[in-house]
Amino acid sequence: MRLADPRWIVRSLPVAVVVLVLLLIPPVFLSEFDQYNATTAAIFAIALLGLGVVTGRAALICLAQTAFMAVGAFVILWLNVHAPGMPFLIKLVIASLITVPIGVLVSLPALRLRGINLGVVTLAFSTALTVYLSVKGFPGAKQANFIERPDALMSEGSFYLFAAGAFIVVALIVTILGRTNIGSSWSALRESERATAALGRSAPIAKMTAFGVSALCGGVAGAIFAVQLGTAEPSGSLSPLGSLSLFALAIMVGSRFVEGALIGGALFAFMPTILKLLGLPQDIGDIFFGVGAILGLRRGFGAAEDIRDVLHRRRRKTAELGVAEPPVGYEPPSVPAPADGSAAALVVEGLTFSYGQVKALEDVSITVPHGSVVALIGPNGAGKSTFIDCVTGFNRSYSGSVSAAGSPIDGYSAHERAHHGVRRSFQQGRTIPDLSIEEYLRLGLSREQRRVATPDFIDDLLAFFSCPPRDTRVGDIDVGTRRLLEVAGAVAAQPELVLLDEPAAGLGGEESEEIARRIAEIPGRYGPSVLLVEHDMELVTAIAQHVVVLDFGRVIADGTPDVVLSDPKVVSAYLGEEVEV
Amino acid sequence: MFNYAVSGLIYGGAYALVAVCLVVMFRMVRVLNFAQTAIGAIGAYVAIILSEHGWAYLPAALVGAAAGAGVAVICGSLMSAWFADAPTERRSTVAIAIFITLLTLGFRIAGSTPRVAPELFGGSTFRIFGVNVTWAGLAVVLAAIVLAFLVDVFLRGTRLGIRLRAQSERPQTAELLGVPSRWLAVGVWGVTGAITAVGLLVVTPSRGADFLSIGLLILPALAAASLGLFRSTWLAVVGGVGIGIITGMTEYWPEVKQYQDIIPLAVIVIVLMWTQRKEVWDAAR
Repeated sequence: MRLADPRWIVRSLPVAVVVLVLLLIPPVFLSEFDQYNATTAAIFAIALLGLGVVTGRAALICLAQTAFMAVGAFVILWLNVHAPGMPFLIKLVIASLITVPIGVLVSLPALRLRGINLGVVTLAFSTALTVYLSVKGFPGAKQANFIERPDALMSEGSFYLFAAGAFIVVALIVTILGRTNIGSSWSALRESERATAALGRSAPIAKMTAFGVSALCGGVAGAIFAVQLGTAEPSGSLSPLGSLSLFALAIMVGSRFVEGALIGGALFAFMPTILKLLGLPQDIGDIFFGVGAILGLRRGFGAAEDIRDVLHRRRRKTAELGVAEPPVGYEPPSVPAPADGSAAALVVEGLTFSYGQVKALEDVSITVPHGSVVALIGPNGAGKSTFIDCVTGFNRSYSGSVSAAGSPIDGYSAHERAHHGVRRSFQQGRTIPDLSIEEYLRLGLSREQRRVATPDFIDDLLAFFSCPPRDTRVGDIDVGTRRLLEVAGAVAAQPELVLLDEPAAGLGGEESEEIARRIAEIPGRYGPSVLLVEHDMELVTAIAQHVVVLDFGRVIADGTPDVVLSDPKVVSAYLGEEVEV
Repeated sequence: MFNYAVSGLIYGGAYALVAVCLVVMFRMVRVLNFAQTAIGAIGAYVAIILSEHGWAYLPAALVGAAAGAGVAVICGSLMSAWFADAPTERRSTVAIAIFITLLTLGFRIAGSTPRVAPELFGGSTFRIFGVNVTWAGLAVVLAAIVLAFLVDVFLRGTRLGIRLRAQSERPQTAELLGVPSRWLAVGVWGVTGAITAVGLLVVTPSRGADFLSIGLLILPALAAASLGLFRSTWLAVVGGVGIGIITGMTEYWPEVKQYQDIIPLAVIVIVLMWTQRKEVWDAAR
């Protein structure tokens, strides 16, 4: 779904109206004290939006969100001391923007660390910053040189409206960015880094942008927080403990959604008031966030997902998924012949790769002629998937050479190879359940390719692979169809070659036949040649023009299907029979 | 300076003890237990309050250890009831939520005023190479070493240890083989909870600490355990004692001393980055 898609705007309208009305309640109905709390709610809702990106969408554990807030607060207070004459808004913008490179810096460990290790390192960053700030203090804090609000924002009501406005701006930035390919790559990251790279997206860049956006949100929130208080202190809300409870809160409410962040911000700010009303001590709010997070983790999602799920289910009931309609009278663009008539789609020469002492591939040479389907078969452990990993750049420490369409691609990383005409699918099925079908397909396209991939082209592709209409969520379709969609995703970029790693694994007989028929037609209809790894011999003989057999990392046979499959060496490799060679 | 290094020993011993518990939890129950010190702090506080009421050291410490074990067993039961099959990452995230909950709860009950804890061996010291060493400091380091040794022997050499390792690697398969995974896991929680409570109790007097700062000892403990990537009890001991000694030495330079809490954090970042430097891709293939 593109940004300008009227369906998205219409669908988002009710949420936007509700959010706007909610945001307008405080200045009209609340006391000055509660308006102050409402400002705090807006500020922490902004911080939660950032956590929603990095932890909610990209599933990277970040325990440093209040550290980003502290950076924003530090910069605006520093500017207040050293450049007192600078207009307020400019100070705010500078404070927010300076936090972005800090976020990117914190993301660097994330290029190698994952899961809970990343959580430990981000918590360490947060704590180290607090230690530093405890010693040095925030600028102006010790001299009681506090930052003053501009005249127009002196009253609590007007300052609240300013903070709410900032929330709306940040929410729009995050939402719009979330709908672009940058946002889709965050969702892809959550699923698998390899799948992200296979779609031609750099996983490191996806991580850096996620952290950068998260830090931006933290910076905005921290700067406004400092203005609200007039100063800042390293303990309390901005401490590492604050980071942990904000993290718990983000899980509890599902802060990747705007309404989730808003609920979270309100809970954070009004918890003491609520507890007071209930006659409970006011400092036990974090207990609720901790317990709420545990409950959220148990169910796998937070409050905002609950609300969306109810709406979503109702919508889905009315419309069964069905299959995409082929556009009337549309033919995919004719497949151009290769410039040099002889250039093969893929030439691999002398490929050797070892896992430590074990040679997984030894001197493997395979050619996939332009416009053909070649099958790569062999018993389990023969090195087929390793071969695909080498060709697509996931294993790069091989010797030998790999060329696509006549030019060598050995120097390229996995996502660069995807852009140089080599696409792949994964044995386990690696579509991105979080995205709509169209977002998934477009994520794999470069800017030029997106221009060529018209809506008609995408509809034609989906109809050809019997996939549901393009606004269906990938998570809603069955596993068999997801495998077809993954193949469609690889084909959509119209690469030189698609490598399909057991596309029919785990599928029933009928589905296998269906997928085989489609694969056989890919070169003629859309252009890419196919290298197919498959165990299903019927499927292989039905669609491959050429078969290569690997055993213990070596090519043991190479030729047309009937010749190869009757080769005694091949029979022996599969059945373990002793034969004279 | 040697003096300062030795004075860091008592912290180092406590870090090492908690770090060994973290390794045990990580290896046997698949969780990086952020809540370890929060659980232990509750036990230590029970002991402190009892001794304030005139209890002798040993019975107070025993009841404190039992309290730590009790809290840990509740957390462990929750974990195995709801998150038995969840990946380590999610279980550890649950531990973060438990940490927040227990810390807030403990802070509410215990308040922010630092408590004076009873001193093990009455705070008595002995002299070695002209340096005063507290018996408590030596005891806690020895305890960490003994624990590391016992855990190592237990995991490698005993039937129950192998069962525990099996259930950690594949809880469902272990269950099918007749290993009572759930009870074993909860048992591990209880034992490490008790040990952590005692370790924190010993270290409290010299920290003169309130509940929050005891709970936050999780950071140096994590740093110590990260040295062996949360898998080696021996490296956890080395890490804990090392961090304690280095932190102690910073007392020598006043301008460095104020940043001493950054040391364990730097250790974490450097160790994890170095050991994981070749991990270009995530586990999802």
